[in-house]
Amino acid sequence: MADTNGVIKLVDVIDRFLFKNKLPKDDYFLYLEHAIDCYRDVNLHHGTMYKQPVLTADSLGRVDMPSDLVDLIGVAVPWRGRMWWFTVDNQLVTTVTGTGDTFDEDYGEGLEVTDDVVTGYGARGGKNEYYMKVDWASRKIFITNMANSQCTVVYKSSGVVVDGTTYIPLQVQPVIDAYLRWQKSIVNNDNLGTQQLRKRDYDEAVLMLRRTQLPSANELRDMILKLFTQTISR
Amino acid sequence: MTKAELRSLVKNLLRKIDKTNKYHNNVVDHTISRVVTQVFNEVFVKNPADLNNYTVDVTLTISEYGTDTGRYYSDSIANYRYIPLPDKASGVRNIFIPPDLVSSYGDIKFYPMTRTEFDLMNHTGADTAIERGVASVRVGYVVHTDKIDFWGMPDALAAEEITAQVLQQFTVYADTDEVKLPYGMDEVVVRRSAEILSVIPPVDLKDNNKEAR
Repeated sequence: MADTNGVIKLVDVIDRFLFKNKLPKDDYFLYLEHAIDCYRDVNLHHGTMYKQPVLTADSLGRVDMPSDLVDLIGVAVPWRGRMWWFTVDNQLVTTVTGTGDTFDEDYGEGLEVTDDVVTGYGARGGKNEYYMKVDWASRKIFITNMANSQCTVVYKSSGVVVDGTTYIPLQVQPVIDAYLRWQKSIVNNDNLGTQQLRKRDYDEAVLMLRRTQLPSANELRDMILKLFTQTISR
Repeated sequence: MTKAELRSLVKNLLRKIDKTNKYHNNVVDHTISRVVTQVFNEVFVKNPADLNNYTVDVTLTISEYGTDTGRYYSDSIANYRYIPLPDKASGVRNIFIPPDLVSSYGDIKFYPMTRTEFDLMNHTGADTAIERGVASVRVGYVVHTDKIDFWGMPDALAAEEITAQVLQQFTVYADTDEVKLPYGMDEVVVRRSAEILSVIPPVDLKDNNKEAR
């Protein structure tokens, strides 16, 4: 015996909202617009949904950000069954001033990062083989030692699919419902007391969503056990 | 009650000022139509959803503005003269996929919008989320006096005929059509119509064998 789906179409969320609240169909698109805003915020601030496409860097080691990227989580390459994460290094030289779309090595562009770089701080801590720098203005990610190679870009998206159906996790639906009631009270110019009440309902719905994403008992146990070092038992 | 029966009932309730007592059918029909429109507006104020009980189904054929514009409309409601109401759907209360197309387009739904929303929708989040080309696309419609503009209509569906539930005016009914009046409001319609007509005396009240001028 199967239960209902754990995901729901975004457009159906609005149908259900109208149905549950005995609302006319007049403002369907208005609510849909608000629901999209809500889902983007949930995706960005409260959700655990992310995308991880494998992208190829160009000859200069640059990866174009996906168009739906709103927040970068990290870049990694596979290594012995796990992901090896790049370290953000904002001191990397990422300008491209050479002829055409090339580095100007005379200016220091595209040179391999060496360990004897002098910084203002005393050198300490571990070193990484791979470094990255994010250029938000041109929406590119510069990575070292990876020209023309593949890497995994992990990021949070806008959440809305433009060329197909947008599905959302079912546990997000109460958050969108609460958000729509809140926005409805603002659009309808309800009194401030009602608006604040709806805002509080939304905040509580968000808290409930976040609660479902807390680590489980097993995860907490693993976290604690990871801190121990095994020694010989005497 | 058919349209002819309702008209006859109203005429027979009018004062018999003289033996001619002439009231033209069109005058009676338009009077009843005014009252019916008023009564439907009263139903609307109480609960707009109740109006769905009194609609007639109209088959909409869809046309495209120009060629390859992807913008569609239907003028099939031009002959129905719907009752205007103060919400976005006005007298076109619903549009839906007819049963024979449900297997292909059953998940497509229609929602009313204003012309302003129609103009603003491009490049909104809702614009991207309505899933153009997908079976569950949401289509907006703007009701004009003589036509319906569609927003987001899939090209494939535009070649088919869809159904609209229209709240049509009393004058549009044929004499033999059953007139859909709001439940419990039949007496109100008849009484108000008779009251309006009763203040119009027959033209010729003198028994002098002369036409009144």
